Amino acid sequence: MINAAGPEHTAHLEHHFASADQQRGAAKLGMWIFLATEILFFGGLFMAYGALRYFYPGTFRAAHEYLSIPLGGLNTAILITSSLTMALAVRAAQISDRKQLVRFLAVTLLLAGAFLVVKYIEYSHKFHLGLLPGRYYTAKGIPGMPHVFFGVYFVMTGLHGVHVIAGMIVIAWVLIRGRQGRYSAAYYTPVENVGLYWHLVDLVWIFLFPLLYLVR
Amino acid sequence: MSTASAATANGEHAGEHVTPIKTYLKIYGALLVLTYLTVQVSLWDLGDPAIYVALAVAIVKATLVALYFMHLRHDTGFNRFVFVSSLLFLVIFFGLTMVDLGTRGDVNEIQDTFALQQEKAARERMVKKQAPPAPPKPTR
Repeated sequence: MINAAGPEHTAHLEHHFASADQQRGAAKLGMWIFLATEILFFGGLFMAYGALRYFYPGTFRAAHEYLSIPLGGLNTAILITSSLTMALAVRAAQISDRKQLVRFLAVTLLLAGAFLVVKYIEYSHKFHLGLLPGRYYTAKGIPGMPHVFFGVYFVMTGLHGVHVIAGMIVIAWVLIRGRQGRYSAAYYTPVENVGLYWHLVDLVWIFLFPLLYLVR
Repeated sequence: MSTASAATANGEHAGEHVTPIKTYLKIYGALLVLTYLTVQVSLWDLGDPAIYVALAVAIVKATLVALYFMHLRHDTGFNRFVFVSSLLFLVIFFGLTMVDLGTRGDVNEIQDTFALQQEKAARERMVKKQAPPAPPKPTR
């Protein structure tokens, strides 16, 4: 996501690319390869979830009851909505609509913040009850090895939360540059790649929500 | 192929498909409906198949996001290839690991039941003391 714009806004094309299309294609391919590594990165954690669930089916069934379906569902809706506004922001850049681009990016950023607020409410509730990983687990009443389940829960949602924060930083970055009028139909690769990243964050949550909160 | 391609004022062709807003809203609606469905289905006690139902719905949702929000439907074949190949390796990873875990009991009974026995023992401890299993204390 190197900004190709030089001192002049029209100078988007780096000298080592033959055309703007080629430059865009290369940047997007790089982004997709990065997303593939992200999928494999989260894949390891999903595998850990699968293996531990296989080992401790009773624990997972009992411990998942302590996750709030309304809050998790709300966060799913928030993230899906933010994915829509992100897609609309990219669309606005494609048609050179600066006003809409800034507006949709701002809404996406707000929704990402709302997601973190809900996550904070959930986390503080878990901390309060002592539903924590490993030896920090102090709650009573869940049979089996619940500290293993909460280890999985906190690592997976925590890492996803880190991705949300990273997403907010890059969305804020394209928001600021979008306000400056740096993006148009001729050049909007950073908006597009930030969008792809944000949709991946949504994709991961689409699997986290049912597996952690819903499945008995 | 793409009927509504972005073209700049100076005629420079960005070569990118612009999806109509209506399509985005339809996908958004479908995603919300599927989320509602998966929550409702989880309230019925389906037992073991529940995870497959939940995964099937999640895969449909993920496909919609990838094809429309991430534009893979109108993207180059090579970007699609990168995405699908990462999924292929996930399938190999999950598949072989689960086959390993699921068949250990065939050759070694103790390995298969080790984790389950631990869980059972922990549950018995809890029933006895009405307290959660104390994770091993650090010796420091």
